[in-house]
Amino acid sequence: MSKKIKKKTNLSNKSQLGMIVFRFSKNKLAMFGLAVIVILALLCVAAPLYIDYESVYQQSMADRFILPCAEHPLGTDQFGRDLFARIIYGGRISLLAGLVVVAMALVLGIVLGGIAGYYGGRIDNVIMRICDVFMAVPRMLLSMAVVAALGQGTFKMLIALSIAAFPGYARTVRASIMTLRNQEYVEAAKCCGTSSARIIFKHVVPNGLGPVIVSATLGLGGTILAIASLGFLGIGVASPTPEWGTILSENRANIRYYPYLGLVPGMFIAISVMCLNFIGDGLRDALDPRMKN
Amino acid sequence: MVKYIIKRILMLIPVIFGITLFIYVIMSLAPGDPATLILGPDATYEEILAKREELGLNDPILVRYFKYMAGVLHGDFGISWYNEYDVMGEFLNRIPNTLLLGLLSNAIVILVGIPLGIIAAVKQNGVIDYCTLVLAMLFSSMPAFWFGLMAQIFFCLNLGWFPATGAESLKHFILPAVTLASASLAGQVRLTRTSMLEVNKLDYVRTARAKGCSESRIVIRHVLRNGLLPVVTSIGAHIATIVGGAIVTESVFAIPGVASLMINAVKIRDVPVVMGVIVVISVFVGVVNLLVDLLYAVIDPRVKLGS
Repeated sequence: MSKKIKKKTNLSNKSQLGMIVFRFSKNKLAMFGLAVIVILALLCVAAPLYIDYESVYQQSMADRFILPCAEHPLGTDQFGRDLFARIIYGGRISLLAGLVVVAMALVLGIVLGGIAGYYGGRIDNVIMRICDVFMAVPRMLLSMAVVAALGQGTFKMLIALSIAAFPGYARTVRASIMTLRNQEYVEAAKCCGTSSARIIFKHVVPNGLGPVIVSATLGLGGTILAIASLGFLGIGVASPTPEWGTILSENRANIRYYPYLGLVPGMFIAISVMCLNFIGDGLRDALDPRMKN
Repeated sequence: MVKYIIKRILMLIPVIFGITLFIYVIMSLAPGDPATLILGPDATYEEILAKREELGLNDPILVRYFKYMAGVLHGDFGISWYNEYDVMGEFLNRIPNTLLLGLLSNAIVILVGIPLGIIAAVKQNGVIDYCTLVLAMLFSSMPAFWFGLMAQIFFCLNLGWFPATGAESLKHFILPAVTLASASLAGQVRLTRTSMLEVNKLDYVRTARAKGCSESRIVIRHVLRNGLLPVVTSIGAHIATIVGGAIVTESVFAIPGVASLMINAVKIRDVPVVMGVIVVISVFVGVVNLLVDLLYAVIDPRVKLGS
């Protein structure tokens, strides 16, 4: 009994951030997701240390379709390229591209949503109608149309995906700002003569970031899926650059006889998206325990 | 009611104008001259100039845009830059396949997802409940094209139950529809479950239990009626997911639908085709969402439209 009470007092001494970290660390699924993603990210970042970059592109017809073995842990593809090397280097591209898209969409969403939520009225109306326009078109179609207009290329595809993603973030930011803008500390800042920009981005936005971080984490998984889908359709990252969706599409013709060529890249996509979803759900519960059902 | 419907339909107009204007503007900012791209590297300067004139590329961007929109308002979506077919005609040729695929997978989502969600809620924390939770996590993280490819290998090549590609008979559509439904299905089960459990906590359900109502009657007559309301709205939300997923699914199973039209057009930057597909699909999604909202108001009299 006394132990329990002690634990409780410890908790109440913790800061807001400490509480969030504590609640997150109690969530087994979220911690598992975090561990897997961290390991995967480290493997990808450290790739040049243990995989020769040459083996990603080097074709060798003598080594075609080698089944997984000690030398090639995941086997080789129809050009004799090591699948493990391509997957790990592909992970660098898939994960980084996902991060870039979410970051670009977040910046745009925070700026537009912050301004809309803080000023309200006509400015809010204009910005939100613009977001409505982008949200009315299914995301996949919108990003494909932007790729068609800009022309193909990895960076252009990333721009297209961020354009399709930013209205969601703008809405989330706006909603959380609108509940904060009448708080006393904002009034106090106004009385001190602080500029509007400083109030929005220094005082209001940081306090309303919680839901935004959650939707960004969940959005990262969805973005990696979208990048892989575009790669698979042949309008994303172009072969021979390795990207998980592109690798799947390269090997598509040979999956029938060598199923590992299709299983492995897909599993890497599914596992990383699933772990990112675990982290996002865990963050949501940690930030707002009342939401948990 | 009529006023509300008209208002919602009018709200689609700025969406169409906004999205087409946006695509037109970024297209004009992008490097590369379409006429040169279409004619290829062997074309002479005169040929390119003639092609530019033919496509109307010499007009200022806004003039071109208003000419295009005037056509769209008359139902004329222009002709493809490359193969010179009528965009609307080609679209109408292909839409039946896409619609059939969408309808089938939506039917799977509803007919399988809702009953499973109800069972998961009634037997909360039971075996089925945990199974649906695990499957929901798996399916929502899996790329649809990967699921489709694996299903193709297993059911078509190994077991030989279904044809792998094509769109000749209804049998060709079963596997694609399941693939397309998989991601939404998992979400639907979880949503139905949450919504049922929410209603189950309310006072009137307790009253029904207290007066000795049988459990099946409580579930069917009392909980289900209110619990299914949010589920109806979610069907509208699935439409956008299904449209996006249909593009990938059609490509995996080689179904000649709108998706392959769109993918080829994106690859060669055939702008009239891309614009046409976007406009028609956006209107379609908007109208479906409107219908879902109307349906919601019909089955729940507490919902007031337009407020």
